[in-house]
Amino acid sequence: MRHIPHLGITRGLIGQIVATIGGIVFVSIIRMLFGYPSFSENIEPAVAFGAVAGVIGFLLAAGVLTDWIAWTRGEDPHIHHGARDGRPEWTRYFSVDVNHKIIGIQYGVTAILVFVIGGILALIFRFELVYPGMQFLTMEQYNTVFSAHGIIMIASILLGVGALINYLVPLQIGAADMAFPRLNAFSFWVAVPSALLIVAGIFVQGWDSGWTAYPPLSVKGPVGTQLFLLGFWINGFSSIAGAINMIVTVAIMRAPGMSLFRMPIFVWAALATAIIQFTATQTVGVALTMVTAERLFGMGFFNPLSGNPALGIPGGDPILFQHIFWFYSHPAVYVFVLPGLGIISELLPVFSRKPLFGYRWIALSSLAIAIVGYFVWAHHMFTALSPNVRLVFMYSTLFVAVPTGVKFFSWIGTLWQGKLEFPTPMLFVLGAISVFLIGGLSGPILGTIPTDLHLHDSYWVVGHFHATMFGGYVFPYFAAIYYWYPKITGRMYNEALGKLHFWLMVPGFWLMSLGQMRAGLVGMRRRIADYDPALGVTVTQTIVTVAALIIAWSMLIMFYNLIVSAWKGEVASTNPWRSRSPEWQTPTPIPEFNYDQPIQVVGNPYDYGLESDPGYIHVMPASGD
Amino acid sequence: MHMSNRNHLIIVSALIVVFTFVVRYVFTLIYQLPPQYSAEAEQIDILFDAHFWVIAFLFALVMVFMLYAVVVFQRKDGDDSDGEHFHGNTTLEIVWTVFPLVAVVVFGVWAHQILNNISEAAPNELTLNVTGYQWYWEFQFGGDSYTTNEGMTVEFTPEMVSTNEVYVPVGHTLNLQLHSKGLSPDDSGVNHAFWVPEFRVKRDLIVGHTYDLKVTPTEIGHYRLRCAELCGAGHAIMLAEFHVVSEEDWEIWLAEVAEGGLPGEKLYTQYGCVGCHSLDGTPMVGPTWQGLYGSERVFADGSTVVADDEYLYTSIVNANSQIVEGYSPNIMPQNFAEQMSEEEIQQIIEFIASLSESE
Repeated sequence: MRHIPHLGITRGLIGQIVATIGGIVFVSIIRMLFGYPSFSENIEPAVAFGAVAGVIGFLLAAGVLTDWIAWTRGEDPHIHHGARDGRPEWTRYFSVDVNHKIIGIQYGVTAILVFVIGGILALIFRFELVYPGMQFLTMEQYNTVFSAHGIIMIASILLGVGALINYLVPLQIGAADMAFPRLNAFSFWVAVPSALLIVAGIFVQGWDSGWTAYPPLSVKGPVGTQLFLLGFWINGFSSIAGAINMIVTVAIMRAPGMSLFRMPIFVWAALATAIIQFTATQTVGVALTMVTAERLFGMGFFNPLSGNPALGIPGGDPILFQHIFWFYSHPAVYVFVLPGLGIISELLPVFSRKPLFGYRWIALSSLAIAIVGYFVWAHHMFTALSPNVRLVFMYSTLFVAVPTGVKFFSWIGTLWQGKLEFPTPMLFVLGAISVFLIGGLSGPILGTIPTDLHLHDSYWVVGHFHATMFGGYVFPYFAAIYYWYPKITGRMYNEALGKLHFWLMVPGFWLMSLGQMRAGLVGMRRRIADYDPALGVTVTQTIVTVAALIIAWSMLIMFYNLIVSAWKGEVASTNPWRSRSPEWQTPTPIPEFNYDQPIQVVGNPYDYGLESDPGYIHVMPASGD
Repeated sequence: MHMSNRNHLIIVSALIVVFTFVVRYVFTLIYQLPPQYSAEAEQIDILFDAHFWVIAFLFALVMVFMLYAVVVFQRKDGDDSDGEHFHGNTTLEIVWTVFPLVAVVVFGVWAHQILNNISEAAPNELTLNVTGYQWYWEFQFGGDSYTTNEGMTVEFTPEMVSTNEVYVPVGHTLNLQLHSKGLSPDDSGVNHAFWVPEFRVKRDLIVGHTYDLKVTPTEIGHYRLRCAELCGAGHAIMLAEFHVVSEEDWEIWLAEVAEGGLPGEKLYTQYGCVGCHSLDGTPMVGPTWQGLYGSERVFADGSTVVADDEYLYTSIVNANSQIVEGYSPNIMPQNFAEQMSEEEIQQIIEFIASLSESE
């Protein structure tokens, strides 16, 4: 208890609250002095300024910027490793720390906490949808809840992706840490206050524009919209900084002998992900900035009425936003799924005891998906574009199916003639393949325009999107948690509970996904607070809600398993899965700098079953003694 | 029990064929399109059917291979050896890159062709202006007159504007002109989308643009137009009755629309009251007007007032000052005092009062 006031998270939160209040008071006084409407009449300018000040306050108070500020003063602060001021080891997880494994766990646990918030929001509106008619929410509240569910889940996925990449990549390439450890800490910590802004938006009047924030709706929405826009915007720093760090780390810090095609396959996925994050996030930042400017300063980028026809000045155009927004937000869905697909490719060889089938094809298919992903954004606007423009995007969209297919077929090739075993992580990998298959196969029907004209903005899209996210992210993320759990905690999770989690979640998800698609096909629109009983989707909606509850219960079992096993689980051996990957060759718990001696790559990562196998890595002999 | 790879593949291939038909059959049980009531739907549904076959086949392909491997290639207890050692097969990789590539190009060209067919101009199109507001639909036929296929000429007058309901003659290609408008001159409005599921086709109504969409209803019936683009609190209930009728019934309806009702009733749609207030008790974003006049209104703080002329007047010109329990402020425009004349406000109040008298 006595350590709590010194934790970075405690200080950060206090800093955020103080700076937010300070910012609100500051702007309110300025506006009062210049005779603008008072705070009670228009709270938005003060709240917006307070929100930004609050994030800076958080970063300053938590100590994220301390070393950088010292640099600006000409000092040379040494990077600090380990717990500060003789405090216990656990305090590192709640404070600013530069070790990539600590940061990875911070990302991972935060991702799960945020995921729980998003999940609770989902259950709230799923209950509302059990019957037609409004039960316990107003329509405005419903819109806030589903909008918040969307963006909070996206924040959670980005955090989860950060967890996987931060924890695994340095270990897998034989590096001691990321290239820029302080920047790494910044990437994580900036995501915390920004996520809080989004959550705060729910309570400050809410917002009703969905996570896509299309103007004019997002310009007209209540103050919560502004907090969501700023939270989303600031969260982008986390992606951009993390991606730069990741690209540099992979470029220069690989162990000797690790050529690009000898990297663990997950590193390829992480690299493709980072390239997208580094190059695309800025564009959504622009889109959000423009909506913010339109809300706060009345700059009519997206408002046709902002022009002056008499002077020949044209007004704004709401379609412009949709383009800029999807420049990022379509590639972003590949940010969400590529790491998960990398996890599938990473784990399959271990549990099949076979080489990864078509390593180079899988590696390059990740890059191909990333590249093609840049040229498909306008399929989100098939019902809003001129007929000729959209044709180009129909073809580019359909091409995504090709590299995605390569992955599926290569996974099958990896399983074929293997010696398969099915502990919980392998089950989740197979579950991920089945769910991502549903997501993938429900895509091309949205890609061909004539069928999309029916399915666009329907529940089919909801089903398709959730299947890709669960198959490409959620299931692989859980597989990864179970798989690396013994390396992280030194203990085994409970296998029976892990399997129970799986056998509840897979049928639960299948039911949910197929139900959503069914509702969409018969004519249910997405994002509606209430549906028409005449559509005949009431039973389907009830089933989807029950399925969502099953998924929620299965996750409670996982949380119980993970928490209790950390204390009471069986002590795990160094390499319980008999993996060839470097992270399993280093002791548990992993040393501060990962490998006590440098490692050298002498073989291929997935040469299971190779006769006279040189192994994948050699630990170099200790030098000097 | 050790089988050759060839035998495994023969069994798997047979299972895939069977499973493809099983999955396709299951689709007919769980995946149903709405009835096909437009010429466009007839073409689009052919593509839907093809997609469902491909989905069934690919689903069977991957799942059968995966589940077969799970069953057949299990590790035996105590066997710590590794599986077969092979790294890949370039021929296979090329095959499963090229085949999907060809398949998506074929589907692309086919979809392209269907899109051309359903966008083609038809002879004697009937223009219908569809305008989306927060949260209601307004319809008005374009041009001064229209000559039907049977040579009957229908004159359109400016009064023929309808709200949340429209009648169209069966078998005519409608050239929909889609607009989005705000409730007052300084309100841009928001985006909406036109979707009647039985017709399949959908098009957005984007602020500042006029988009067109062609639909040819083929069956007499009563359908529902549903807004498919998130447009705020009332999005879910932004519905309109879309009636497809014979040419005679269409003309009868047009004549009824031209007649109109009480002056207040016209203002009810003209100023967009219809977007949030129902006349028949249906719950919407704002309180219903049915039985409103003379009823007791309860505010959030528990205080009450009887809805008389003065109460209604204040509610129209300064809605935020008396928000009834269960409803939200800041949704109703605050500038009706500037938009409406005193006479118009009185006419609306009379109209609201008339809705209580009739009971």
